Amino acid sequence: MKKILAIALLTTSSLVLAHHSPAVFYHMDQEVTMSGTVTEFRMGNPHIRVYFEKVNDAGETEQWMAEGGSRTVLLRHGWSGDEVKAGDTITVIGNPSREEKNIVHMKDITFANGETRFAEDLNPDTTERLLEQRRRRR
Amino acid sequence: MKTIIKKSLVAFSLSAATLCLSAQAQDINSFEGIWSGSMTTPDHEYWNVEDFITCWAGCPKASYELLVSLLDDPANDDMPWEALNGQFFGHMREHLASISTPQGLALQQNSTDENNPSINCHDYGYMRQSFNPLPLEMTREGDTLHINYEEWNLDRTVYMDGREFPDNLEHTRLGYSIGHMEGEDLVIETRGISAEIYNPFHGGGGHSDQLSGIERYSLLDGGNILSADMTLTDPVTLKEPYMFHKKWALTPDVEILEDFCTDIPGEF
Repeated sequence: MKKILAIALLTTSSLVLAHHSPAVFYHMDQEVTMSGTVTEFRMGNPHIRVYFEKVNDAGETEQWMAEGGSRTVLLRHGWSGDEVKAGDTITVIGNPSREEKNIVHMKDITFANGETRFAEDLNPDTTERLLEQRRRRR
Repeated sequence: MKTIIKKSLVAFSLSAATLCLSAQAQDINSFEGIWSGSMTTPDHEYWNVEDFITCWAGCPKASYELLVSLLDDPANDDMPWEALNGQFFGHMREHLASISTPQGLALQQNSTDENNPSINCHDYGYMRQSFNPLPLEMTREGDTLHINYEEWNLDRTVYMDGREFPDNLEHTRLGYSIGHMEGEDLVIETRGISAEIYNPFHGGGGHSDQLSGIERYSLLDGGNILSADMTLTDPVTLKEPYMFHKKWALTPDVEILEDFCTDIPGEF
């Protein structure tokens, strides 16, 4: 019941979870995983962006864009801007567009070398750790 | 005898004035440094989960207290943090709407990414810039305080020389700021702000060019935490002042990074 309530709250509140407003365009309560081949990577503002091609179930090639966190925030979390290049195969875990566009709010990305990194402004592990600390203090 | 007393009084007055000036200068200087919010310093010992997941762009006290009450209730332990976050931001939007005039409400309802400066490389306005999540650096140059924001690498000038606001103030995005010390607090008043949008975290919308702001900065925790209360007044869009709060941690090891905008044509 709590889970249902939480999801209802998620869908009725137009969430703003990232640094800027585009996250209001994503279903933050839904998660998708997709793989593809990178066509372009921008370590820029307002968010980093990975453009990639993905082959759908009908065998057609679709153009997608995955949007992550803010450039300088991710630089501080160890990103350099050299992680992704055109031609790389990547896997993205994120939230789908509310408008059913071919864009995804990128939470995690797995690079060609197999390394997985969170790509958002807020590290979910830190959030969970702080939440747990607070509940223990209660 | 009268001359001696007079000279002593003058000397005492001068000494007191000097002491007063040096004390004031020390107070202003203590605000100098690089200050970071919770978003870029998530492992800083001072932050709690409320600071980390919600209030990094400033928030009204009532919204913060709502989140605290939700977190205090064990019945919410299974609630995902995104849902807590949703209630918090919903409360912020409702609060701003409740104190907005019909013109202010109309601006909030018409907020889109078409007029979002973070999409079209348009520098932020005063409200959004001053409490944005990225680090800032305060430096003093004589009677001028500079606030260098990492976001867009914007430099803001605050005049601390006791001047009055000019009669014919030219309106700019960051406005014209005059600061002074009140006890141990740094108080900055800003006028001459051009009409801009609010931060979407605060409900979007915007304000008129009659907006004025008062920021009151104080130092906590032995000077390691910068705490600020913002009060916005706008007779066109607000029925009553909009007040919110934010904290930064002193982070001398942090660098202000180059921050530039990348044009994103028509993708949203």
